[in-house]
Order: sequence, then C-alpha cells, then structure tokens
Amino acid sequence: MESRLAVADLHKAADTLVIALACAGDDSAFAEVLRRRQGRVRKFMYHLCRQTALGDDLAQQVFLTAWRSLGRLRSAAAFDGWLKKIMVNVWLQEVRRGKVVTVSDVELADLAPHHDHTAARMDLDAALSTLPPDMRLCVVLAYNEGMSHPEIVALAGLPLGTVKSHIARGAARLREILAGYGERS
Amino acid sequence: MSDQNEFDTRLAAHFEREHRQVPADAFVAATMGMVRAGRRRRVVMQAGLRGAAIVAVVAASPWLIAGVERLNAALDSSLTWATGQHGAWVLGGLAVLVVLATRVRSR
Repeated sequence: MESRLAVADLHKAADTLVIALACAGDDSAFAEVLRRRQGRVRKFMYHLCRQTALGDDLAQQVFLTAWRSLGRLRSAAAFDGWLKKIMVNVWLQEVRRGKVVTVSDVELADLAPHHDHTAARMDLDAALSTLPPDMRLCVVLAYNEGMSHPEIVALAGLPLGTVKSHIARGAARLREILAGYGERS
Repeated sequence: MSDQNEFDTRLAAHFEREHRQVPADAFVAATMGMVRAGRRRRVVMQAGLRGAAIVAVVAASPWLIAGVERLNAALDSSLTWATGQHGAWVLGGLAVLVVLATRVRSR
C-alpha cells in the first residue's frame, strides 16, 4: 500500500498517527514505527540473550510478528503494551526451543573484568547471563523496562510470588557478581 | 535498605547506558526487506490457493453435477409427496403442533 504521508512528514508525525497508518497497511508508516522502536526492542533482546546477532534476529522476529498481526491491534494507544507482549512471547519461544545459554559461575570467572563504561555494561550482561531465563526476564522487565510486579505478572504469565522472588533473588545475584568485579578492579 | 536502593539505582543506570548496535538504518532496511518478502509470499500463496480451488472445482465437476442431479430428483419426489393427500395431512398436523407449541411457550 502506498503511503498517505511523505517520508519527511512521517518523521515528524505523532506516534498514534504513524501507528494508525501502519495498522491500515501503510508500509512506510510501519518502517517509521520500526525506526522509532528498534533501539528499545533490540536492547531488550540483547540484555536477555547477550548476543548482538541473536538479539537482532529476535528483534526482527518481534517486528515481523507485529507486522503480521497489526490488523488485530484495537487502538494505536495500546501499541507499546502490545509490542512488549510480543517481545516477551518471542523470548519465551526461544527459551522453549532450548537455545538460551545460561553461563555457569566458572565460565563467568573466566570473563575478564573491565574498568571502563563499555566494560561495566559487559559485566552486567555477563552477570545477567548467569540467571535462569525466567529470572532474567523478570529482572530485565523490572530494571530495563521499569515495570511494576503486577505488570510483569500480566506480561510473563507467572504468579506474583514467583515474580517477586525472581526479582529479589536475581538482583541479589547481580549485586554479588558486580560487587566481585568491583573488588577485583 | 538504603544500600538496596542505591544498588537498584545503579542497576537501573547500568541498563540505561547506550547499547552499541548495528546502525538503525541497516536494521530497518533488513527488517523491511523481510516484511516485503513476507507480503510477496502472502500474495503468491493467496494466488496459489485461489488457483488450486478453481482446479479442484473443475476436476470435481462431474461428481458435483451428478450430486446436483441427485439432489434435484430428491427435492422433486419430496415436493410431489408434500403436495399429495398424505403429505398435506402430515404438513397440516405439523403446522398445528408448531402453533400450539408457540402458544404454550408464550404463556
């Protein structure tokens, strides 16, 4: 379908308008939505899987799924919550396929600690990869997406007690690992 | 408790840091390429399904015609029976039953 707005106008248009156009089958509008949301989706996927290429593949799956089911989206205002649900579903499918790697403590010790900002992020990513997939998902949703416990329950389909315990134990584990890095640096 | 809060803030800041990625344009172009390929596949599949449906109807036409003829004959014989004396009595009785049942239900 040809775009109803020029690309320059799409860049300036409000989110709800661009999303509504994408829902109506406008590919240029969907490309604009993709351009606006790609950073967040790719960062989320990267934090979960710790591999840039796999993270980008999963992010592509998220956007392809979104494109296929855009017709079912009830309102443009609900887009972000709906996209987050797809992000979580794509991750859970990847976990079910058994492709998610959890690093052991021994392997983690082999990862050399670094002292600059990029390295600090690598430390966090390495520490995250030691958490079991469900716990990792809860921690990323809580700290990366800033979601509350009930929101995580609704999105991940886990009981409230499990979500609370995953976040508390996951954060404690990250704290322990990152403190270890701090002592070594 | 304040230690915990401080750590939470530090952890959130860790997540906030800019993530190094393949440039957005390359990612958008690659994903839109997949979207366009998906659309082409969908169009081809729909055309294929439509073609297959037409071929199936053409191939099955002898059976379809025979089936329609048999149905026609059955309808003819039932209409002949319904317009006959027995049929008229049975249909009349059914109509009375339906009226009675409707009245009972409406009470």
